[in-house]
Amino acid sequence: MEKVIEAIELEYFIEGNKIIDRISIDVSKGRFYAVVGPNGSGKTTLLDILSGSIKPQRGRVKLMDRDIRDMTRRDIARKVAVLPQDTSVLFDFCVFDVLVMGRHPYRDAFGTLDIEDLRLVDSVIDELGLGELLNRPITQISGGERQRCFLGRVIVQDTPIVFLDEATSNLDPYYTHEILGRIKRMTARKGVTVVSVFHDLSLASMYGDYVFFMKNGRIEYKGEVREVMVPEIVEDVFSVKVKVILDEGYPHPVIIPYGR
Amino acid sequence: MGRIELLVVERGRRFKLFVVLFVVLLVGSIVAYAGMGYMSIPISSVGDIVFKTIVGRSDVARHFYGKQWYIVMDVRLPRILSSAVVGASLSMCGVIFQGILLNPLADPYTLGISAGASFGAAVSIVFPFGVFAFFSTQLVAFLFAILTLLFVMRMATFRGVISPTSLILSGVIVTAFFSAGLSFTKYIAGEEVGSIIFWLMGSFSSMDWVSLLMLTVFAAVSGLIFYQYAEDINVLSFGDRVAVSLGVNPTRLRTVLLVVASVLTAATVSVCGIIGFVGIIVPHLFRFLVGADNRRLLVISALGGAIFLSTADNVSRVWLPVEIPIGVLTALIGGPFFAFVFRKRMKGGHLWKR
Repeated sequence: MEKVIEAIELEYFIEGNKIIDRISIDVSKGRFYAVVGPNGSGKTTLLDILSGSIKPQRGRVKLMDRDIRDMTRRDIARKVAVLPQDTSVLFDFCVFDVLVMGRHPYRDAFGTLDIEDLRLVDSVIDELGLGELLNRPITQISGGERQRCFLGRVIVQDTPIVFLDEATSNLDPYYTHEILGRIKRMTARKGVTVVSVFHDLSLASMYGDYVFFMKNGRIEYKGEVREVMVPEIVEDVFSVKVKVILDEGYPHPVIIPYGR
Repeated sequence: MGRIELLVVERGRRFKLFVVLFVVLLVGSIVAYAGMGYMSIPISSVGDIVFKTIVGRSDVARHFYGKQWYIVMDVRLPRILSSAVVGASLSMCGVIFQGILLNPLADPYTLGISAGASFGAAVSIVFPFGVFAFFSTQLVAFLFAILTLLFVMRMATFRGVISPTSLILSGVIVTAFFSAGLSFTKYIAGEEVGSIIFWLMGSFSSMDWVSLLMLTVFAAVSGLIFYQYAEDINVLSFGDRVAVSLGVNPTRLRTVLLVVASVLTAATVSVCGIIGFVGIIVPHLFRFLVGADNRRLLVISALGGAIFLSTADNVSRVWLPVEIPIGVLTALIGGPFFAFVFRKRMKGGHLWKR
């Protein structure tokens, strides 16, 4: 399978503390990767390294066969889009402004939008049903609507790779599945590759094809969802007792942590 | 398809309307203010004097209008234009500082530039010997402002990254230090304390064409740089991670804009002292009008700030029995107006259709 991200022997430390400890991973086109692990295990740092936002002290990252060190920020932004957790924004940009920002990596020095850009934005507005919200300030819409708008920005960015960092952590079940469902369909329809950090293990096994378990800056376990979402591994990584339910009528493992 | 194009065109049209309106208002008020004062001069004469002088027939105008020519060209216009340029500069810097510090409370003085400049000015007034004998108070103030900036930036940089929080904290620390220094200088100043206070309050009364020209060049170059980066500042509003994912380098952007905005602020401070309030309310006021987009906000704030400060200075110069320091007046006029707009806005009422 075609590799879109290849990371070799990554190491990243801050003042002697190892945050990322010799991680090597391969990411193949069109798949959905879930990254799980306890708080402080290095998940977000790993995403930041893979998206060129911070530079590791050792090791290297290749994005679509190019060394990330040879790419400008704009080059990278045309390959990888990032959807973080919904965060508060102080200035009231309207929904339309936010969607258009997805074209930022493609803008010329004058910052003009051409007709193709607008056409893409328009199709995303229809796809996500954002037509009614276009002129609303994003400070005045609900968290779910706002995250849907940010998802719109990510789709407008039109990249082959999408990173999610707990993108649905503070959303209700409806918006959680709406957002993850749309992302999942992008992997199937457009061959987009997704790497997503999750805290909810059941969501990770529902949407992920493949799981990385991180602990203390290392990848302790990895594999297809059904192979690795087992009590022994989850208990080892998170130090909690869990029940993993495999139901014939429901295709994904359901993970219920119940005590220490 | 039509819907989006319509939206873009409609917003563009409304913005252009505002720009035209503001330009007309600005030019109109400058000409009108030039006619006002102790000696009242008709607007038509002001227009004629300015026109003839610009097209190179100043000797004719000088001969024809006599004293009026000197009043308009040498006294009033430098002062009015300076207040407009300073108003535009402080407003633009306010937009920039609020944008890069991700803080609606930020203004051009948040990072301690004014405190540094004030201290420098006070020291040079009280100790007019040694190195300070060679430099004017203006130059010392400017140099102190720049040194303050470099110090604040150095203090706020960790592992090559400059974050808004560390910048604001460093600014607070430096401001506290220089304020204490300023107080001490005033304490030991003796009878010079009056000159210090007068300098700090800010005034346009002694502006000449040379300072005006210098300031205009600073403002124009900075304005172009700001405009060039306005789109990047928009992206930065969503946090560093989002900005990075859209191809922007936050630390580089902050560094460039901090330096440019601070140099411009320092230039205004050294020319006319500290004028508070403009840099914080003007961006807010016009954010209500044109939205958060920094590209539009910069243009409209520059024009609006120019109108606001030249009007405030005119109130002080023409309509009040005694001249009130401009820095005091801006807060006196701007405060209630801003309070009105703020209340109205927070109640959810529309001052105008968005």
